[in-house]
Order: sequence, then structure tokens, then C-alpha cells
Amino acid sequence: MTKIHPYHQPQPGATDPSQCNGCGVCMLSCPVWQQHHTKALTYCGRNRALIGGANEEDLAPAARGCILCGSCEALCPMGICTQQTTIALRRRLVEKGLMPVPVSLSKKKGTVTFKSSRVLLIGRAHGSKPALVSSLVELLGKGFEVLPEYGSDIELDLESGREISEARMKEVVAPLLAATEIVVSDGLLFNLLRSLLPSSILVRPLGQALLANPNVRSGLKAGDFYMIETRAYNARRLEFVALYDALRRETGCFMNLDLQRVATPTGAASYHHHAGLENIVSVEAQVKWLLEGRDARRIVVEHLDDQEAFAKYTMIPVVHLAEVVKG
Amino acid sequence: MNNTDQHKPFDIKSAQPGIIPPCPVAPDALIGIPRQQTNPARWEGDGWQAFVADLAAKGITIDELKSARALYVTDAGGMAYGLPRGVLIARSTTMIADVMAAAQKHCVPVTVRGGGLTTEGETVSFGGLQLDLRGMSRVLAIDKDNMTVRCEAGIYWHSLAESLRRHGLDYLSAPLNMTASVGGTLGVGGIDINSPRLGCSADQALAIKIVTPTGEVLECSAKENTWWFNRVLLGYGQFGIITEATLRIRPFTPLTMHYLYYGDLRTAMEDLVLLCDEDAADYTGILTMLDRAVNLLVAFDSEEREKIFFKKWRPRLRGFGELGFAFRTGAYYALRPWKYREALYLLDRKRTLLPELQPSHHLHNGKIVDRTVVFSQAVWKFWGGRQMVIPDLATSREKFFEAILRGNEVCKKYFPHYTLYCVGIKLIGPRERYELSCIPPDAEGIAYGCEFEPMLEGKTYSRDHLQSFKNEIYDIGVDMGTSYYRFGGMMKGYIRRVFGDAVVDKHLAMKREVDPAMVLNRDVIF
Repeated sequence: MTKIHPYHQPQPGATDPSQCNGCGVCMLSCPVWQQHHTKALTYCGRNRALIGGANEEDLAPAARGCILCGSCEALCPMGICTQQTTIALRRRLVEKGLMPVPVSLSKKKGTVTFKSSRVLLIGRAHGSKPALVSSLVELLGKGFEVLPEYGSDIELDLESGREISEARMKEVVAPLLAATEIVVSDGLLFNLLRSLLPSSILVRPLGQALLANPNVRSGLKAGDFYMIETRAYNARRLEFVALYDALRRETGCFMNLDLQRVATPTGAASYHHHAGLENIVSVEAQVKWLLEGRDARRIVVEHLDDQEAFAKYTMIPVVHLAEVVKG
Repeated sequence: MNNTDQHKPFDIKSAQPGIIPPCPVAPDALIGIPRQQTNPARWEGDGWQAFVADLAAKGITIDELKSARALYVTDAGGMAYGLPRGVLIARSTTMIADVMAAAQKHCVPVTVRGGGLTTEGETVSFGGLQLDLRGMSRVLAIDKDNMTVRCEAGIYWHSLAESLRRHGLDYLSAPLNMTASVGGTLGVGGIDINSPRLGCSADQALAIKIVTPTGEVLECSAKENTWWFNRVLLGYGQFGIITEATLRIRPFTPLTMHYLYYGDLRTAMEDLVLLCDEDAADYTGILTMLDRAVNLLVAFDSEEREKIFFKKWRPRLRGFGELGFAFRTGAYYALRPWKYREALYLLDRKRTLLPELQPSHHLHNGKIVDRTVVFSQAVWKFWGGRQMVIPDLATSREKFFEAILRGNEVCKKYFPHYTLYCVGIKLIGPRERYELSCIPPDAEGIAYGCEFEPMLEGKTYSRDHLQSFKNEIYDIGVDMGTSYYRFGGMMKGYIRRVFGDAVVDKHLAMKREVDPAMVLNRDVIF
């Protein structure tokens, strides 16, 4: 079996703040920076504070405030794995009792067995919409087996800094080694699986898997505001950006990509939102910023958390990518 | 000098602004040796508690926690280190006015920071208050009819560009580094590769709102409070804090970029001057790998301008295309096999750097969509580091070639690898604005600047080595009567030498008049 490298325990040196040269480029697309303009709350600020003599305990507010959208990771010229580093910091802060871990997040399932070699891992949000899930399976093509909330507990534990046992990690990952193709709706789980599974297994984010279907692409049109799921995209921006640039040219839609080609989040996917914790990133402000100066006639989302956010704060019609297929 | 003179004790006087005092540690240790300006003395903190209390009474809380202060321990240069006594993230002009009034009353130094991209410690606080302007980062109004934007001064150029792009607009001119703030840039000039056409960024400002060192709020423009307008722009933060700015803008256009390659620095500089003199390109500048692969960049906003360039000016330029240059350079090194390491360096640099200057995700139909994003990312990836040493020379047209060629020799002496970045700067503002700035007093029409950027490449250099390198570059400026972009902070020892007593004393008198306690951005110039 493939050795499992815990995603929340980055390689030695990756958490060394001196890796950061303090350029601040990572702040340019950071939603926390965008809303607060307080460097101490950003990834760069955390590192500068540590270098300047602060303790990790001092960083708790910044660590709690991060929504793990991955925009800083996409921009760091030093190639620092900021998402993993933040998760690792949260974990240490949780161990010290400096970060709350909502009990409700721990919803572990036992070992799940499946027959198909092609699996669709739909997260907690999609699981509540059976009709949408049926459409997803149809659009992805035959042979996909749906695994509702598979690994969702790990994703949420990762995000909140909760300790994840190696046994539980193996319980989730080991069965997937038998798959040939895995489609994942939640970005953080996608990042985790891409880092753990061998490259012979095709692991794709849900949005990209759906866009492989020409009927889905043809359902997009000029005037659509296309909301990319940020966590998966930003972690592999250079790998994914060409696909979305081609889609933009093909359909005339515009996207939540900023000048750096980094995906801007709504913040709705953050665990704060689901666990009822205070979130310093206002989803309403993010939605307003995303649509500012843009004449969107329809909003198309890859992730249901974003659909909920746009529906709550705008009057513009919002649909899931699986719902744009003509006819 | 006889021995008696050599050991004559110094009469140590208290430090006055504008005078570099003898070394207080060992006053006879530096006789005959020009003292190098390094970190200023740390402010002792008299009046701090009363200052904090006064502001607290107005609802303004200074953050004195170590974790907050530690963020500001150094600047982009990474050479000057100091801790502020407290930090305040500015949120409004009124707040800044209250801060400056209290600072003046209690004689508390205030060091203002935007992007913190200074390299000589100009934005580092050695005690006193660190005022972070980035808390004021809003775009206030976009006026498409008059093609202007009003924004708060702490905003990064990137954030401004992001907002403008939503409306199909762009700023005119900004540094090729998007973590620069608008206010900080206007305070020192701001050079872009379109500066030969449009001047420096400060010259794009139509109006600014400032807080004076005594806490007065003024709206300034060419018609209103003109003295302040021209003293605060390119004033290195001495005469006021810019809190808002109205800037010229334009419709956004992607641009077409071309590179011409030279094996000889002087030839490339002559062609750069030709392009600047004749207004032959919308953007132009020189970026080198050592002095063997010299890249003259030309770019255009419109196809018309591009066509005219290729018809009228390209035949007069002596640069080669990539293939022609590769062939000639290959031949050069084939005849000089002992220089194989240099050839390998150039090859590796070409392989890694050039693709980053034309990434496919920032190109559309062969045009660069986000030039500043592209250059900014490349700057940090290839030139960035925990320490950045970038001495420069700013010259008139007549002195450009000699000054830069001499600077190039200094680079060779100190570092195996380096880059030169040369641009022209059109002078479109009033002369008084440029007094004691990067614009040399003898420049007419267009000034020229060159940054000398050693590639530190993770190697450890002593502070002495880096400082000596900077000094030797700056000595060229003293010798030839040029100016500098980065003359403040640790390099301020050169200010009197290069600008002369008359200009410096005039500015010192003005500074004392508007900032009686000398608290605003202390140790940057005076």
C-alpha cells in the first residue's frame, strides 16, 4: 500500500517562517486582506511576526481567520505550501487549546465498500440534493458510483485542526487505491487525495470533470458569471488555468479570477460557516466584491456552498454547473 | 595629516537633523574615514505614554503588543532592523490628523508605511509609532467622463488595477511591483517602463489630500495649496502624509511586447535614448543579464504605434532578434571557452526567466494582458529575497552612458551575477517638485535611471560588502553630479554630498517650519 503522508504534517522546513521573504505578493488575492487590510491576519503577516519575535500563540487570531481558499499558495514566489502550513499551525494551536474545535464536525463513518472503479465523492453540501446528484452521475458518464460524504469528516477535521489518526486516514484512503478515476466535489478533500494517491489514479475536481462534457460547456453563455471552486483550483492554478481560459474564450462567460488568475472565494465553504463559528471573512462582502462592476445575468457555480451564498445575497439567478445543460 | 591631528578628541555634540555626528562609541576610531550611515539611534520614548493616552481619549488605540510590532521589523531591503514602540493601522484621514497633532505635541516620531518596499530602512521605525496606511485602501470614485480615479493612499496598485479593470480601465503608470502602495509611490516618484512617455507616477496625480506634520488636513492640487502639492509629491514623506489621491486613468489595453538583444551595454543604452528622444515606443526599458545579454524591451498599446515603430525606428536600432543574438553569443563564447561558466549562467537564466515574462495565462492573442502582474511576479521570483540591495543612479541624458558604464564595472567587481534595469523618465512636473528627488537638477526633458541589482542567490554576503558596493555606486553619483532614487535612510549620508548644502539647508528649513518637532518620517532625509 502507498505510504500515507499526512497532509496536515508538511515536509520539514515547510513551516519554517524564514522560508518567507516577506514580499507580500500572497496578500494581493487574500480575502482576509481584501476585507480587513490588516497584515497581522494574513499568511505573510504571520511569518513576519514570527521572524520578528512573536510566538505561535500570538498567531491564533490569524490562524482562525484564514478560510483556506489557497489564494496565497497560488501566488507565493517561494513556492511555500501555505494551505498545509496553516493546517499544521491550526493543529498545534488546537493541541494547546487555543483554537476551538466544534464537536459536530466529527461525523466519522466506518469503512465504505464500493464496486465501481470510478467514484464520485460528493461532500456534505451536495448530499442534500438527490436530484442534482443524479444529474451529476448522468453528466459524468456511466459507471460512476456515488459515495455521499465520503471523507467529509477528514476534510472538516483537517480544516479545523483536529487530530486525525493514521488509522482513520488509511480507512478512507486505502479503498480508493482500487479506483481508476475519482471525482471530488470539495476542494480540500481533492487536495488531500491528490497528494496521497498515486498519479495513476485520475483525481479531478467536480467542476473540471463536468466541463469535460461538451453538453455542459455548451450550456454556458456570455453574461454568465462562472464561480470556480477555489480550494482545488488555487492549489493547482498553473495546471488548471488553461482550461478555464479556454472556457472563457469559448463561451464568453466571465469568472471569479482576479488579475493574478487566482480564484476569489465567497468564503461560504469555510468550516466557520458550517460549524457556526465567527468568520472574519464576510460572505456577503465577498459576494458584493465578486460582482462589483460585473454585469452578471446568471451565476453558475461548481460548488453548492457558493450557490447558497449567491442566492442569499443577490437577486441574480444562481444555478449549479450540472443544471446548465440545454434541453 | 599629522599624528597630533589624528588623535585630537572630537567635541561630541548632540545630533542635529541634517548633520551626521561623529561616532559616539569611539570618537577617534573613524578619523579620516567617511562614516557610513547605518541604523539611526533608537528613540528613547519620552512622551510616549502621554501620546498614547491622548489618542486613547479620542478613541484611537495604539497596538503595543510584540506580535503586532514585530511585523514591521524591517523593510524590503532587509538590511535595517528596528522595532516601533507601537503600531496603528490608519483607517481615516481624521485619525491620522489626530495622530500627527498628538505626535507633534509629545515629540513622538511617526514612521509611515505603505507597501514597505524601501530598501534603506526608510519605512522602518526605530522606536516611535509605525503608521500603517494600508488600512486606507478603498477606491472612492471612478470618473469615466473625466478619466480619473479617487482612492485612498494606502491601496496597493494591484488592488487599484483590479477595481479599474472591472470597468475596462487602467492606471497610467505605476512601479513594476504591485505591492507598492499609491501613497508611497507618489511620495518618491514611481517609475514604470512607460515613464519615458508619461513621466513618473507622481506626475499622474491631479490632486491629493494630505495630513501635514502638525495634523492639518489639506486638499492639494495645481490650483489649491500648490506649495504643499509640489512638496509632498516626491517629497520622501517629509512634508505630509498623503491620505487620498486623484489619479489620471485610461482605457485598458493589452500590449504587444518585443525584445531586442544586444551584446554590448552602451549600444543598447544609445538605442534606448533614441527611442525615448523620439517617443518611438509606448513602453521601453533595458533589462540585462550581466552586461553580456542586454535586453531592450519595447511595447505598444496600439497596432498603429507598433507599425510605425517597425517601419521608422526598428531599422535604426542595432539590437538582434532572439535567434540572431543566440548565434552571435554562441560564437562569442566559443572563442572564449574559459568563460564557459558565464555562458552556462546566461543559458540557464534565459531558460528560466524568459518564459516567466510571457506566461500563457497572461497572454491573449499574443498580447500581454497584465504586464504589471507578469513583471511583479518575475521580480519577486528572480530578484526577490530576504535582502534586496538595489543602489541606483539617476542622471541627465549627457551623463547617462558614463555613469551606468562605471556602475556596471562596480557590479562586476562585487558580484558574479547582476542585472541592470534602465529607464527614461519624462519630466512633466514643475521643477520645484523635483528638487531633492530622483530627478537630477541638470536633466532636461528626460532623465535616465539605472538600478544595479546584484543577484545574491542565497549566498551570504557581509553587511560591509553590500554597503561598500552601494557606496561605490553612489560615489559615482557624487563624482559626476547625478541623483539617486534611494538616497534616504541608510544612504542619507550622501544627500549633502550630492545635492549640496544650499538645497539641503533649504529643505531642512522648510521641514523645520512645517514639522517643528521633526517627527514625521524621521531619519529618512534629516
